[in-house]
Amino acid sequence: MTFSQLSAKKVSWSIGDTRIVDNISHAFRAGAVTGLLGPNGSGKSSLVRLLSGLNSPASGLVELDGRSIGSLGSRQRARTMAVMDQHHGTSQPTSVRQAVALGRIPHRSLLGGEHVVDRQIVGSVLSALDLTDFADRDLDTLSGGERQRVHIARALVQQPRVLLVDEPTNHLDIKAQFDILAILRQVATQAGSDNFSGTEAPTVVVALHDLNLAARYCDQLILLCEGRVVAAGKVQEVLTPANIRKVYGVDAAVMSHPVTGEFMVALAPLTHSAQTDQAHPVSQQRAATRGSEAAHSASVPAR
Amino acid sequence: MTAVKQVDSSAHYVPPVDHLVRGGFAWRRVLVTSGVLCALVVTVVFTVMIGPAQLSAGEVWASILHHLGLGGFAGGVEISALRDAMVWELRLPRVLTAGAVGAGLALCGVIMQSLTRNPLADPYLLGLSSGASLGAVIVLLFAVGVALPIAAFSGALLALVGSLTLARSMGAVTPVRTILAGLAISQVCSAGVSFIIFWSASGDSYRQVLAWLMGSLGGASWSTVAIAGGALVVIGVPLMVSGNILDAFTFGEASAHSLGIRVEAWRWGLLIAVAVLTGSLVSVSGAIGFVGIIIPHAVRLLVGTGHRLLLPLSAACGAVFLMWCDTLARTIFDPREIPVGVITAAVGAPLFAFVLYRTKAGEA
Repeated sequence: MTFSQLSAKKVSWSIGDTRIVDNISHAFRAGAVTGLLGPNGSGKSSLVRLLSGLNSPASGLVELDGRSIGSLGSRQRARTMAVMDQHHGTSQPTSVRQAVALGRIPHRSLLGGEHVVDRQIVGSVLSALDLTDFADRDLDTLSGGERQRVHIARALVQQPRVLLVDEPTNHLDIKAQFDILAILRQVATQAGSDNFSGTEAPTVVVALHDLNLAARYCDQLILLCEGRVVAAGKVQEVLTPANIRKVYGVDAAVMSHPVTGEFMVALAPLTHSAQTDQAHPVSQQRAATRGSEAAHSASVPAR
Repeated sequence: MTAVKQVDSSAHYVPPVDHLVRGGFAWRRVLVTSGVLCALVVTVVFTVMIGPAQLSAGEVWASILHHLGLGGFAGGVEISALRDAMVWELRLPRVLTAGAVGAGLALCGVIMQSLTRNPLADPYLLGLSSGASLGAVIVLLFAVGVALPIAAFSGALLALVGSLTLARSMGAVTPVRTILAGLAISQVCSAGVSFIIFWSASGDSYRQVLAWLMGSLGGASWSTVAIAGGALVVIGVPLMVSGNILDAFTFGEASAHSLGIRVEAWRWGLLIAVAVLTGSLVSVSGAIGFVGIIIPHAVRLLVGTGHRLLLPLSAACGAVFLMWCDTLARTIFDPREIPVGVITAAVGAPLFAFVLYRTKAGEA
């Protein structure tokens, strides 16, 4: 297993007195997709912003290639790491090719224009993401899924070795959600292809809401709750019914998909008695009735 | 599509067909650029020729070349001292001031629209014009012993400091907060201007104040050329190279950061540079409206949204536009002159509507 260029070391961050990210350490794996999971407000987006250097941690360190991300020059950082954030509207009519070509900015000087090699890279990423036919269309005329592909393309022409993506599947239809995550998966496993990055296997980190998408497309998962890591590791180790109940407050069962046989999660609201329980600290009695798994849940360490 | 198509790394890149179409677009850019540059030169000569006393192009060239110490190239055209003075002392300074102000306002408009990601943003966004007006009105009506441009410039800078302080006090300086803070300061200054006018203006002084408030180039001289032109060269020209930076802001500040832009430093640097440039322009011409809003939109329609070309072309088009508007302002009701701001609004508003209509049609 290859550990990558990107790691968080005891990273914490607050807004006012509220801890948003609390003492998170993790070495992200290269050549793999790592999913960040957790309910709203669990710190997923904040962690992405800290990893990207957009916010500086109050304490702790984010390291890229063994150097603190704050100490890297902006351009040097942007040549190594690309970020796809959640908000990217624009007020100006922008063509697909133009939007994608923005990703070449870190690779040129302040005054530099587009070179032949820039156009080649943009062209090959457009065709790799099936966007060539849209290249001269205005971004506003695209569907949500197509537009999201454009933003991934922009990140890819940066030729990053680390790709951070914050909830890329929001508001997309189901097939588009699969498509987007399939692309990210492909990026992570395409080490050495000059299409995407250098010789090293890329590190992909993606914040997600949908547990089954995460199960299907991620190699590693980090489950966050109130800014802390509740569980981290392989999909089946992280997505246990106990963890899901603890973090999301819903009932969960894990099973094999009836057709594909893949690991999947079935979810349901907590039963009535469970809801009353949730209002109070989880009772020992309830933990006992749920059997060994719930007992395990109560004893899962908070990291 | 279920997965990324493998792109064979050994296969060499074959340009897709639509590159040819883009090639056509590149030609269009070359065409537009050379057209605008020609228009710039032609406009200077023609707008100097036009006026109560018509001058010929030969006379204009002769006067200019003579004063530049190049009289030998004038081709033997003789020009009387009176007509020479008309060109060199009256019309040329006025046309050049109009050009510098127009270029600067259009440039600042592009930058403000792109920084705030708001298509309605203009150079006066941070309350600059209202602040300048307040300064100017105080000087005009209270006979304070300060030169008008200095008072206007100081007013603009105070408004800038006020807006940015207010925006900061609300937390992180986001585009929306910047706009709201500018609006608040602008309203306060406008209230002050209205109060002072209501309290103490009468007759001629009222007309003088009104002319200033609407924007007028009636006071142009070589010293206004020096102020506006100097600000344009010292601040405007360096701003023209910020094209890549502004491009990076297309999808907002987080994505600019991801593209390796030092967002905070650039945003503050650009805002302050735009404000100082605008303040200098307003100090010589008053707050001329519409140039800073419509020119950027019109030029985008011609050459697209890439800022490397948009910035210099907007500056050139702004210059041409204001030189013609000012020529109209001083000639259509000859011998009476109307404030150029009236013309830019009268020409600008329909043009703005047209640009909006075309933009909409382009998106559909």
